[in-house]
Amino acid sequence: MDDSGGEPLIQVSSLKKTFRVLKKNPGVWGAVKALFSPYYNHIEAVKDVSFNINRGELVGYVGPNGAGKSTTIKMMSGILYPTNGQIRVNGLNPFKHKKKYAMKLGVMFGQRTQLWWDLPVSESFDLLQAIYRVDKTEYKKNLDYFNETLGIFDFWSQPVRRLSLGQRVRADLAASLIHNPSVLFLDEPTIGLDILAREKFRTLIKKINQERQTTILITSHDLGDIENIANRLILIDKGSVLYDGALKSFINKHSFHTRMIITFGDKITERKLPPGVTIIEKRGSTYEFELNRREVNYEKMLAALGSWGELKDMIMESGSLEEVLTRIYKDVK
Amino acid sequence: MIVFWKWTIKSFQRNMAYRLEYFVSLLNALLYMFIFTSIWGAVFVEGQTKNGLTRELMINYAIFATLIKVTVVKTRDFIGQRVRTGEIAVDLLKPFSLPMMTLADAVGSWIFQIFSRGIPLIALAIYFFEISPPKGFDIEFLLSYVFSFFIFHGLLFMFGVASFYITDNFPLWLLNSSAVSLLSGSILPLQILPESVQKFAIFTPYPYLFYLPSMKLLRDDFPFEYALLRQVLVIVIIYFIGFVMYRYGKTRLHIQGG
Repeated sequence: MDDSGGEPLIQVSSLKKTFRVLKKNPGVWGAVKALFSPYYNHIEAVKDVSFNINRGELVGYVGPNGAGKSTTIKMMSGILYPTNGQIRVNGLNPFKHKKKYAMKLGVMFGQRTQLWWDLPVSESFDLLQAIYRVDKTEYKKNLDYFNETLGIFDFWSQPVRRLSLGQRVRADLAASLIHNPSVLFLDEPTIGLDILAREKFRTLIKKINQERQTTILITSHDLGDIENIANRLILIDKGSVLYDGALKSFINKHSFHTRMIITFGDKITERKLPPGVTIIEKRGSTYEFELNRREVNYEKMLAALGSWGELKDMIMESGSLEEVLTRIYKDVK
Repeated sequence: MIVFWKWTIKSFQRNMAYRLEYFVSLLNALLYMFIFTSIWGAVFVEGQTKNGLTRELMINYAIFATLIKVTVVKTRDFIGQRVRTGEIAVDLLKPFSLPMMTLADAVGSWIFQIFSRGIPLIALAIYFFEISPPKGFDIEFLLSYVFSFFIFHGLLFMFGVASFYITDNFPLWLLNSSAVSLLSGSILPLQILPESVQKFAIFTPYPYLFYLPSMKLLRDDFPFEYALLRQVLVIVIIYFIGFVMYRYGKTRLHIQGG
């Protein structure tokens, strides 16, 4: 499917999108004024975004509300026209080669469905097969695969409007992959799903990425999605890229908090802890500490705890993406 | 072409999904016929002629104009509604053009209306109003009727695409509905309107919607020369404007939620 040679599969350079928004003053007078003398604000939803993505990568695209994530995805999908900048996916320009481009692309918006609301699920798939010209054998093979992984035949003949949210998301994911796209964009795909459904969804995305070598870009406010499935992270805020690199390195570099759960022997003598350590919880001889690694390292901590008593067991949990991003978002604000 | 017809069939199926809506709209069309036949029956005395219109002609006009209208008019604003909800995003993703998608959707609804409303209403009209087959039912009428569908869809597409520029196209939609009611001949034949309105109307696409095919159906002496050609010209103009609006509109489209 990748016909772009040795170049990255997705190339985004200096992408910019400005929206013109009517500014209205509050109250009736403001509304009347806006009617006869409209004043527009120009909002830069995406300022200057550049990145490349190679074939088979699974990239998390994150940022706070209004950072420009969905706008970027919609531009990359060929729905929104950029004010400036270039997008090439599979060597194609989404706006010049619209039809060819759309045939190789799968997009799933968690908050919107591409299925026909009033008709059974099967009818939407029947239409999608015709739209994407999926060969009958391939179509059947894909349906069997999605039934095996997503259980779509359980609600195959139900009208879409009668599906539960979880069923609808499963059907929409299968619909976005029915034509074997080489690139898949997922915009808030797990919104509203329960823990179990989210877990299943993540497993499937990883599986599709590995088995089909589908290049996936995912945005999600549930950072568990990103942390569990993505290898690479692109962080944007106010329309600009703040970080682009390996997810693990990002967490290791920016996470300063570690949770340490220690179980002591029978005799414990509580002594003074080094600065940067706080006790979160005590349960008998088990203590839970939080370390700020900017103030204290593990060596100092273990030396201090050695004077408390015999260490019987120890669990350490380093920071999560959520913790890191919460702090970064706060700093940026 | 396969995609077009599949889409048309899905649209037809979707129209069948709501039984209550179907029966209510059928009843509504029948009431509409009763109201207008009663009005014209009261306004025109038997044997009286006004502006070349007779009581019998007006009653028949009310029935046939309603029949044409209920089969052609589509009340759903496909594009405008989807722009307001942001669902247009999923339509624009598909390797199938939006204008063709809206046309296929409209053709599906149209075929559904003909079978589900048109035919039962003809049967009901024969039973309740004892109408006889109109004199002007021929190939020219059928062509004129098909052209009315395309004019209506062209207008719908044009006003729908306007939502790419202004997001909420409801005021334009309302304006179009009012213009259809007044100038299309769905309620009043054009010659009943004041002369100044008639002169204005012929420069709009509306009289070519229902007035022309209804008159063709009912009057032998109706000057139908070049009428089909004029309808084609209206279709070309409306679609041209619609496509230009669509081409530029999609570059400035805003989609709800980024």
